[in-house]
Amino acid sequence: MEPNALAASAANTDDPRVGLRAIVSLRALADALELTQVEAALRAGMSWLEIADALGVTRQAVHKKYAKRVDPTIPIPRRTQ
Amino acid sequence: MTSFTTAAATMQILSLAAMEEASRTGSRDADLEHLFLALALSDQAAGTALRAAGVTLARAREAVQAMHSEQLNSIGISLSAPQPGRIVFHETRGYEWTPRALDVFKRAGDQGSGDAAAVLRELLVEPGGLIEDLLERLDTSAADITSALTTVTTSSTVTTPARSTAASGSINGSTETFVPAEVDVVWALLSDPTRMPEWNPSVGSVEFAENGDGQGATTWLAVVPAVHPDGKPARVKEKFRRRQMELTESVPLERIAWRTSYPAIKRGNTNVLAIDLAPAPGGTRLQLTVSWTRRGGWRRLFSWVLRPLQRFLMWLGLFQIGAGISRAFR
Repeated sequence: MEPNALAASAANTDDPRVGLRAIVSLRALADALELTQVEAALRAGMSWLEIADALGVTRQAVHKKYAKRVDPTIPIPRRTQ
Repeated sequence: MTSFTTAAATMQILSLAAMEEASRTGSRDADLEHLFLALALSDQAAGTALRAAGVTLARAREAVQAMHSEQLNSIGISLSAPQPGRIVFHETRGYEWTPRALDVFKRAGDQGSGDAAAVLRELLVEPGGLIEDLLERLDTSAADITSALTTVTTSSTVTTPARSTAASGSINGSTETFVPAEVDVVWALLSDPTRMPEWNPSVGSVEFAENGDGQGATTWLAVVPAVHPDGKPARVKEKFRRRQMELTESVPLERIAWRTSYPAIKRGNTNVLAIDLAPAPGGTRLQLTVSWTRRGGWRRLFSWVLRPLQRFLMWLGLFQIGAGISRAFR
């Protein structure tokens, strides 16, 4: 879809009930993709701080959300170096 | 059984199934659609009613996936969500219920008996429109499911924690589970000892016992896995790691039973795990029964004190085996 068409469609507010539920699907997709990217970053040896900077959030925020969720077999340094 | 233990057992069973379904799409949050999928797998009245109304696991999964991609399309996102893969729940961690899914459980406990049927009733009146949408895609409605739920004989109560029978010298526990596969396929898995690691979490590898000739052998040696699927080391004492499994009963498509003993322990207890299979609409119903031999003497009094804990652990073991068999077909 062309960027303009995408913007027009995403901003389609004809049926907010449909639109709001679509946002839930979008959040679930974004969360799944975010987890995959965080795991990839940790595997590549990035620290929590580097990941947080790239995501534009604090180190505490990213650690709180993902420390328990990421693949437990990834070796993670205890503190940021 | 008190409504508290019913609610706790229901929560445990539905949580595992729902989070396993969530794990297929890389999600760590179990939401209403995952609860719906878990109910479609339930061995209780809720699952029977859903399947009677045509809501099988396969159809429900398709409806969920179609709903999400259509919703993304509706706001102009043609990128489809990644295709669901296999269940990775047992290899990963950090799963949680979403707040609105937890609310459904809370209302089912407050206003109903807390069993799976009560959870389904609360889910049907979920106000967000998600379940309504799913049911429409599955050519049914909340009214249809509710009437199916009333017609289903409510004789199938929660079978947990395991009941202990009065038979002297042994303690029995039993639980039921539903598997979304035909009985011959389930039998093919259960009757092949070499496939035991696929469904029994305490079996990592299986080999013929030394006295077996490989042809019609009935005794096997099983070794407990050294690491859990999520990579953590399994803490099992060395003498408990090697188990002898003897096939004691085998009635094709109906019943199979294994006796487990611990060759490294002199006066060790033995247990018999029996699995009864019965065809059911949309799959197979399994009854798992375990019976342990009991020792006499002072230990017996001691074990009486620990009986509630034993019963719980017995139920937990059966629950994990049942979940393992179910997972093999999802």
